Amino acid sequence: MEGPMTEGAVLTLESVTVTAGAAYEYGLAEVSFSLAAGECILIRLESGMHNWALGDLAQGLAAPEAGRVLFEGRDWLSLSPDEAAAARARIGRVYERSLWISNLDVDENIRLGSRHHTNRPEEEIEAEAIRLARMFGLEDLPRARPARVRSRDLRTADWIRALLGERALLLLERPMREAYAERGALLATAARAAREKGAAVIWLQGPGDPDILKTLEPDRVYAVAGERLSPVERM
Amino acid sequence: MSILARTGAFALAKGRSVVTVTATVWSVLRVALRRRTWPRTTRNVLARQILFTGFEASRFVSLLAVAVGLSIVVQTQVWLAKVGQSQLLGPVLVMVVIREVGPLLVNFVIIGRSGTAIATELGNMKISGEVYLLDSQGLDPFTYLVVPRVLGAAISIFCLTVVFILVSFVSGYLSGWLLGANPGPVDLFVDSVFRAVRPADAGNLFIKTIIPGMTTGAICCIEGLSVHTAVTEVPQAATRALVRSTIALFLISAIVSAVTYL
Repeated sequence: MEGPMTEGAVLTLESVTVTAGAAYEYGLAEVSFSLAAGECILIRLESGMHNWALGDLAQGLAAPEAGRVLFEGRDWLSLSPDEAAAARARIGRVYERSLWISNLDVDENIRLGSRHHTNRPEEEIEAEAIRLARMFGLEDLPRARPARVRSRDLRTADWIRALLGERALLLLERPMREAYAERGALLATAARAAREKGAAVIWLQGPGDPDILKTLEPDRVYAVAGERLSPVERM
Repeated sequence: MSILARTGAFALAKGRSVVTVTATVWSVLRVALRRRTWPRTTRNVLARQILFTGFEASRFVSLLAVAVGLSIVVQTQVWLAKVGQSQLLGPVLVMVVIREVGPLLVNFVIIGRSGTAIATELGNMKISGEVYLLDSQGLDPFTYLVVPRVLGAAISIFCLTVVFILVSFVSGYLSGWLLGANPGPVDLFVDSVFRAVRPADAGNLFIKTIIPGMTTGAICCIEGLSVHTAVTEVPQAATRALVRSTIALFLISAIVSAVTYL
């Protein structure tokens, strides 16, 4: 596997090791890669693989047992809580499992990050969210509590939340899980558009997920073998 | 373990608990003074907390104040008139309602009504991954969840106590008049109450509402967020929050009264 190239990289993992245990079902063993602005990697997960530590490591929510994780050139462990919060605001993430603030409506959930971290007018945030919703085939943002929204629409809302605002990194953890399969190409197109604006993209693909390789056009493809990443040659 | 060791361990555990709550209240005050703590989202949470803890409880607190007005104020009027000491009406009411009963009852209501709700809500949020979600989106859970709840509880308790005192005096005077207890002219009643209020009473009222309010908020947030993985931990956390907040309320009230008036 190619070594990390930290200069100008959005995300760099340097020989990162996390042991599987109570916190994560699957760990990482000496994983290294670097992702520059506008780059995209697709990682194919093993069958049955879930609760992998990569997402939390990339967001600085978990500390590696060995190695370093750098976001925009700075080690997560060297950031103050305020700096880490500001850095996380620049990361859009589709979570493997459905995660929502239950006492806010889905549209409020979607706008929460932008409203918290920016001074953008409410109408502007709303307009961007609605534009993304329509791009993904929804007529409007779901305006009900998460428990009252269909799981597939909730997954689409997950995509909108991840893409809303200016992102330096998109972490898409099995975004096609419980999603409308025919809309996978729309998400891949949106990810490509985000890359053109400078976002780096990590797309985790499960064995049963629809193949979006052609639409996504990732720079590199990896497969998880054991707890390591191995490059996959594309045909 | 010997009795002495157990007593020591118990005292140390309680001491640590007091330090944790004090540190949380101090951190809330310190963080609340930073401008960046208050983006529109956190301001919304504070407004919702005041709406839930303060505004929505105002009807119940007013009903309680009417009951207190009927019992305490009327009885005070009747008995002071019987012993020919009507001029003591103001001082007695100030001593009973403003200094003790008002703050204590309102704090009780908020502990039972909102304190347990805060602990339960945060416990459920922790278990369902919502606290993790906030952290992941760059929203500091302390700033977004704890600060507005602690301040919201304190502000609400102070405002509700003022409402309680006003309603109990008004209802007491009116019910005394209706029951023929001869409360005297309204201006004399108001004057006797106002003349009895000392600057220390205003300070006492402020401290007895703001400090227990913040302490209740902090205890309930700590207990709620101390939940780990099991849903069954949530009611246990709510019960602990109720008990500890009540103990803290009595201790703080007693200490403040002793320091102010002894």
